Amino acid sequence: MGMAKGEVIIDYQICMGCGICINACPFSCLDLTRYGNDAYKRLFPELEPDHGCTGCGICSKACPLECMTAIKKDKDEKKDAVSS
Amino acid sequence: MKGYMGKILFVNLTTGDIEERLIPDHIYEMLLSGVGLGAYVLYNEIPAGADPLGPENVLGIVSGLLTGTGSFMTGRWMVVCKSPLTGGWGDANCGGTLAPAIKQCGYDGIFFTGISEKPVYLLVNNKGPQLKDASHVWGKDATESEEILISENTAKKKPAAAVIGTAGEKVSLIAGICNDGGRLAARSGVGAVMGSKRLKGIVLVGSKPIKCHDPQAVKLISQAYANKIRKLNLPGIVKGSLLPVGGKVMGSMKHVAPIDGMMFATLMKKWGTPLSNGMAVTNGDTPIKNWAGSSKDYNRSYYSRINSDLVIKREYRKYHCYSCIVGCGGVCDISDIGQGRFTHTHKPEYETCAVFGPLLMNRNLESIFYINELLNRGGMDSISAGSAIAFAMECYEKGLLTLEDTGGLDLNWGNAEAVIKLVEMMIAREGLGDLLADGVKIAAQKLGSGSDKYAIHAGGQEPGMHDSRFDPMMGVHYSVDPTPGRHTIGAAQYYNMTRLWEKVSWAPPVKIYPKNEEYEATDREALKSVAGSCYKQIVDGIGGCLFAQIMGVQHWQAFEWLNAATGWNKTPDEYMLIGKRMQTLRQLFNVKHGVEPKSFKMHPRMAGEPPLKEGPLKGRQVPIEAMMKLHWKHFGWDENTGAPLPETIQQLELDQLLQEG
Amino acid sequence: MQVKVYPLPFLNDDALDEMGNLEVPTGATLRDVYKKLQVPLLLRPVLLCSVNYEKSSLDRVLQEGDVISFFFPITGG
Repeated sequence: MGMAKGEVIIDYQICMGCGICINACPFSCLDLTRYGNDAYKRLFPELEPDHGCTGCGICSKACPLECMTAIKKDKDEKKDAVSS
Repeated sequence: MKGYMGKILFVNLTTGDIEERLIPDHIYEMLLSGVGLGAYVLYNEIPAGADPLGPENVLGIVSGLLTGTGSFMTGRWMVVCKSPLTGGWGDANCGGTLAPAIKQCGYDGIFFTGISEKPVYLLVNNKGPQLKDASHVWGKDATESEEILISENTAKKKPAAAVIGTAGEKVSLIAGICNDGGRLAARSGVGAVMGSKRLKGIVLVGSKPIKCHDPQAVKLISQAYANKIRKLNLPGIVKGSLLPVGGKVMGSMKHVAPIDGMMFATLMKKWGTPLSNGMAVTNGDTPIKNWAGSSKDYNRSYYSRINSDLVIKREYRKYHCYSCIVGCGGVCDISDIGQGRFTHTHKPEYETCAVFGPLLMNRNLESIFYINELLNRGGMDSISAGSAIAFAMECYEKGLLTLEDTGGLDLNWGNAEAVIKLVEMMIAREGLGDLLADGVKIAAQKLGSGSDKYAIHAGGQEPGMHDSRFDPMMGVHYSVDPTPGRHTIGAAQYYNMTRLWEKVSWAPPVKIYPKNEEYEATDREALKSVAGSCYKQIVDGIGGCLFAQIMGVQHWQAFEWLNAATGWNKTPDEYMLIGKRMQTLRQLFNVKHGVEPKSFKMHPRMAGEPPLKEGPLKGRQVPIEAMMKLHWKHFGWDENTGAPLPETIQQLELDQLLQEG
Repeated sequence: MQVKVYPLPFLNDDALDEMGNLEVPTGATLRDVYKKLQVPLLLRPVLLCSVNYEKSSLDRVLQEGDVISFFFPITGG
């Protein structure tokens, strides 16, 4: 937890669960595990536990709806995460 | 950078040689990728007279030109081969997760020739392509095998895989190829070809980028499409129990209107294809009791038990194929069925519900769920399996099969327990199952005694669960397509919703018309079926989903996406010419391999010979021979033999293409 | 101005061209379109109709290019 070098923020108001980001990630950091608040029991993408996200942004570039933001955590933040 | 990878992989299973082959740009510009690329490779590679189950057959697993470019509903992968079922061109189509993985490994398609001495699977990862021993999964069902092969080969990125089950290993001619725990490329006997090569599966792990000409332009089209779909939700008033009522209303209408295909998306979002379970029975779309019955037989006391709402009651999550924003699939809890042998199954599609429901007079929905999982694991095509059982039931009813022949199974119509047992026997090729495991045509040949009367097929392929007496254009495509018996190619319903006339200059426009016009062999109807064939090829060249196609070209903008991804700047008419070329090449394959296209004419019962005496399709007949002639004539093929005419081959520049190979 | 209409089989589409376009005066409402299509009065409460894929009242004032679709059962695929 908190050891990953990056993370991805997804706007679930826009996301439609197409899975393009899941396939795009070279490290399979994302999976369809998040239920939304729609009527149809659709699953949405989220980072897996123990993910190794580096914030590389391949997923956010691949998303046709441009609803993802990839973030690289800076070195200081990582140090804090480790120490706390 | 035009969306395609420009390369294929060619694997010789006899020698173990693996080579990469570059494919020149002009091939994609003439034939797209997917089935078009597959046809180009197979026409040139497979010699005339090749045994479909022998070493000379080539099995290709291909992705579409638009797959992975940022377009939506373009995640289908396809299998191409010479079909052991029909003796001619064979292909199958599937969603799931495999399509982008093929391209991320660097290829538009992976082709296999020869026969391996021992069971193998192909692994493609960062070390390149390798043939690996598959003896530890040979004999295991498709779902289990896929799980094992994926977990064995997961380093960083999770692989995508496609495998055959027991049915493919036993070379059942109605075996398919499985992906993602229950999606199947099921038709044309593609699983038998894979099994005959002792190829258990392919496992793909790749991260190569898929580049296209103008990714931003592709995204803009995707966003416009998504904005419509996101907004569209069914009003709460539309309940599952209302659907069959809607079907009755629809079936009794004397006129047809070109409706907005976007409405289809709302139904699919909620139910998926089982939306049709009751509705297609009442309007006449579903064939009943081996195509001999009607909704008077499979009445409300039957179809209410397979109601769409009952199907999704078991669904605990939706399932989307790669790049799909509708998500018509689902996963269902079946842990209370069959003593909990299986915990879950992919929601059975309408085809599966119809072929194991109305076609067999079966109203036991639980049995349908259970059979769905048996077939997904066994790797067998549900349409063909159910049709073969319907054949057996009618033979039993008519005394051509006795209790002794069936091994004690009482094959009375609707006997769900017997159906389950028979499915298991077909997958294992035991007893009567062995007779039925190669489809109805061969079963009737072996059984004799005039049983071919009850073997309902077109060219050896069991037809989808869409009655040609309800939609004659469906019957035309069952009979004229190089892959006969397929319900995914064209129909009046599809044509009316696809709305090709909005973009294609020669596609006849449709306003409200009398339903009876569909039953007349006219040039106008033939132009529609020709347009449908050509456009279907484009869809199969780009990796597109049929359900997206029938939402309409004004919504799902395939032509515009193609231009954005390739930079070709072609008009819709020019793309339709590519579709015509692809279709003509598929037909030329059949001619080369000695298939007589006329022989693919659908079974007389499907044309209403004799006509049904009751139900919504009472008296309906299809002038199929006249319709076939007109269709071929407007394709530029010989209207009597179905062979592409020399001037058409020249006009399409196919003669140059085929010499190159 | 032009709006696009996807009619139901029992309506009258004489006023539509081959692309489904309907010429209406500026300020026309959905009710005016219903009149042109000769939608039976008795059926109006039970018909499901959308403008640009949104539920709309019959009094909605239409704009150029609006899409009017009726919901109807389909069994394709």
